[in-house]
Amino acid sequence: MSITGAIVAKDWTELRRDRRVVIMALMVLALAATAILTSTVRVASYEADRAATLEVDRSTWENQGARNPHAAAHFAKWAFKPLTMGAVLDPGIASYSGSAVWMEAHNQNPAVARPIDDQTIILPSGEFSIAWVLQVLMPLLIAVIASGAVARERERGTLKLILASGSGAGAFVRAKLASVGVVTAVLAGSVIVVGMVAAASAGPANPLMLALWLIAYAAFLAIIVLGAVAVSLRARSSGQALLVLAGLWLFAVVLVPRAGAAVAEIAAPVPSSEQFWADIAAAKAAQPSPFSTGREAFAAEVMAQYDVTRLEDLPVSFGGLQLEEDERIGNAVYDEHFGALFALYDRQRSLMRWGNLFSPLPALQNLSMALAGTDMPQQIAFQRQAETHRRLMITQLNSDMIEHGAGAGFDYQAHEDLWAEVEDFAFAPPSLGEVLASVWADALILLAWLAGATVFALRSSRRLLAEGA
Amino acid sequence: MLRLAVMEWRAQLRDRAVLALLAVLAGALVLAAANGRVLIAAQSEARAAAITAKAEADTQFAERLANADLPPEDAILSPYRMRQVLVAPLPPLVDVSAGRAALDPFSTTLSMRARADTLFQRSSLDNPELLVRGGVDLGFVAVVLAPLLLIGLLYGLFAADRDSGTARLIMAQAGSPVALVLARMIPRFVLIFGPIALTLGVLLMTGPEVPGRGTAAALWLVTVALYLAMWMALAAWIHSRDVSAESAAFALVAAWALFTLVLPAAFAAIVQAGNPPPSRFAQIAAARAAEVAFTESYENDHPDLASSEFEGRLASLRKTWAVAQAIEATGAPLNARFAERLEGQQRVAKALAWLSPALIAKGALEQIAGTDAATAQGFRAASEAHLSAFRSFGGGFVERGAIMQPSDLAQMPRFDWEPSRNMPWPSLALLALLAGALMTSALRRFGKLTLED
Repeated sequence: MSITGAIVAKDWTELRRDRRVVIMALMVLALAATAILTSTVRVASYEADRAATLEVDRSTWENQGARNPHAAAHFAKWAFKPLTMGAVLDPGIASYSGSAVWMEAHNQNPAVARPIDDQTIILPSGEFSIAWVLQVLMPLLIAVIASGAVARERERGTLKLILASGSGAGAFVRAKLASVGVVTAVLAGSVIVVGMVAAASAGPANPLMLALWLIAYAAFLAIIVLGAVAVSLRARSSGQALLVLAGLWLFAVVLVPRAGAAVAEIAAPVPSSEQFWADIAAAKAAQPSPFSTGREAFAAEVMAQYDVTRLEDLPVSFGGLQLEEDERIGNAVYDEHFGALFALYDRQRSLMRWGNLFSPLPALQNLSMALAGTDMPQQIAFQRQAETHRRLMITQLNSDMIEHGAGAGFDYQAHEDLWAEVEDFAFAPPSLGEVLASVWADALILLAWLAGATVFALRSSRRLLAEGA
Repeated sequence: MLRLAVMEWRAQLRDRAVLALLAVLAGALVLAAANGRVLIAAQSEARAAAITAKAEADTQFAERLANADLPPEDAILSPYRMRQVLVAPLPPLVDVSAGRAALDPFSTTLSMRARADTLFQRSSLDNPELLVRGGVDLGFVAVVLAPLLLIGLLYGLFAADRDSGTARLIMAQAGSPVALVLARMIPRFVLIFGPIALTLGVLLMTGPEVPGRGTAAALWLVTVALYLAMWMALAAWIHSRDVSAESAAFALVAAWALFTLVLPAAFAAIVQAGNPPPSRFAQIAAARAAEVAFTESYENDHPDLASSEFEGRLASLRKTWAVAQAIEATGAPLNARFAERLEGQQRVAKALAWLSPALIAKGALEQIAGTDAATAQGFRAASEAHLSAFRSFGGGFVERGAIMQPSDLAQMPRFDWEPSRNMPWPSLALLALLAGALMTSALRRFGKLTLED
């Protein structure tokens, strides 16, 4: 048996006999199993609920009877965001973001129905899921396992014996890395494989996205293994190594992502909801409304366009034209304000990326959420698509009134066939290329961390050469 | 013992590892203070804006009612022109323990068209990406970071002496190691607790004046002291057993992970699974189905455009009001189920929290700060109850076909909700009990140690 194989086998046996580690590993696996189960149930129940609601609401919409199209535009429709199979792996921002948008006339509404509003417990670090177990608990478990990898040999005095036996410091370090790596692969691998099976069974899966998700976590856990073994290489005792690793874990896993969010909030604060809507109301009020301040000018413009001198002589519905003009004016205001808000979210994400100087976790979180389809860019895509759909739908309803409501004003009632012609909203998730374009910087950061951790481990292993000498 | 404690204090400040831990604490505290100041400023400004909007709405509406030139066909629309802005008072320590402050609404605008289920639809614009990661506030530092840093400082409390054999030397020279253990614990406690207290002081001095802030801050500090004392006592208890320094460190880190991460995660799953909220989607669909079932024509949305005659508008208003009541009645059972499930979640979460000192402390700190889930739920419930009274008031005019007069303003329901300020005495008592029991047991064991141990 090679020295690597012998050391891996010895460490494996020791770890199996260490009840503390076994209990902790079982606890992590139990939590992972719970996370998989609850996430699968949650996503399945959400999707079943969404499908049922769509069906009920479609029937409600189509059976609203003869009505003025603008009444229907006020009643309007809802866009419901689907949860992809990736949400089983990483719910990302799903709990903290709205899942439904009311696509009504006159207003671009925010996404509402945030699951967090109906939850009591907020965890100290992220949302309970497989991703949370892998991002938060698994590094702590690796720290516990790796803390004694070399330091304990040093404490016992076996390190000098091994180095004196001629096996070489490099081979010893490789063996220790393999030893911790194998345990990590077994524990994390089992969690990931079961998670992926659950995700794939929850809905249509993109194998490439799943593979990239797996690679991202493999890289992250490799960084943790390399760093943890390097600390153990440098520590005087396993207890000291454990405390240093626990401190590093606390800093890199618990503190840095929160600190990044805190810095982003301080540097690029989002306006209060009250201020945002007050600004929109003021901007809309400043525009010449075709129903009040701008009515005369608009009427003159329309009459000139249709070459008539009285509104009553228009071949189309003036009310319908007013509504469409009102939408056009409102849309420009919404474009400006929501555009600024979304740009602010982008800026906050850029600011949070500075946290990667201190921890690889923010980069992994961005990658994980993006590949799972639960990150902010995809939430914004949902809201933008819902808004595009709203505008098309309202224009479709206004157009019917314009074309068929001449002379009837708001007493015009559209035939109920019109409702069937209005399509339901269907979210088109971004393609893999678009997803990767939003997180390529995070992928590079993770690779840089992997390279850095490898260099750190190699440099730490050189200390053993001196120790052996 | 005092001399020993001073020596320990100096030794700690010369230790590079201790300085590194203190640097992490200092960084977190600076961030917590900055974050707290930004949050309280934003919350104060938003409340001020809401209060200004409330005053403007009140003035505009009073002017409308006072306008004798308003034709009856416009005056009859007054109930549907009423606006009332509800604002929850600023929590006394929102900058210290943010709790749910960044998540839950603290103001809303009422109108006759508002419904209980749509009252807070435009409540938050905060970036979900930031919310999911959470912020850094003083409460987070005290509950999550401080215990682990304290565990790090307490690494050399006693077990390392046992490993190295110096424990026997101490026993031979000084007899009982109790004084030594106390002299080691006190400076370490002060090194963690002192900066937290100092940061709280800075926030108090630079923050706005809020009723009850001083008392709440004092109680907040006592809670943190008890919580950290509990961790210190646990460390002392573990070090008093016959374990190696590594095992002691492992046990403490494992206990921290269990109480701070694992149990809250498990409880979150249990609470959600035990009391799953009804579907928000189904709630939306049910309200819409009811609206279609009760609405026959367009007037529901624009009664002012339905007719220019008094009778026509009144008829339209009555229809709108009847439809709104019917929709509300249809949705009421589902709304009640939401409230019931949330209460159920809170009840189970509260019961389970007794199993984790971290959750006990977190809950107590948020309760003192006025940012706990129960307070947020209280504002929602009070707002919904007020909405009902507000709509009944406006609806009465519609039903009677009466035009609102300036004198009617005095009868308009006013929102004067104040959160109940129940102090978490049971939580404090339990933390004190745990700290006292563990410390007593640890010191007794240390006192009984002999050279043979």
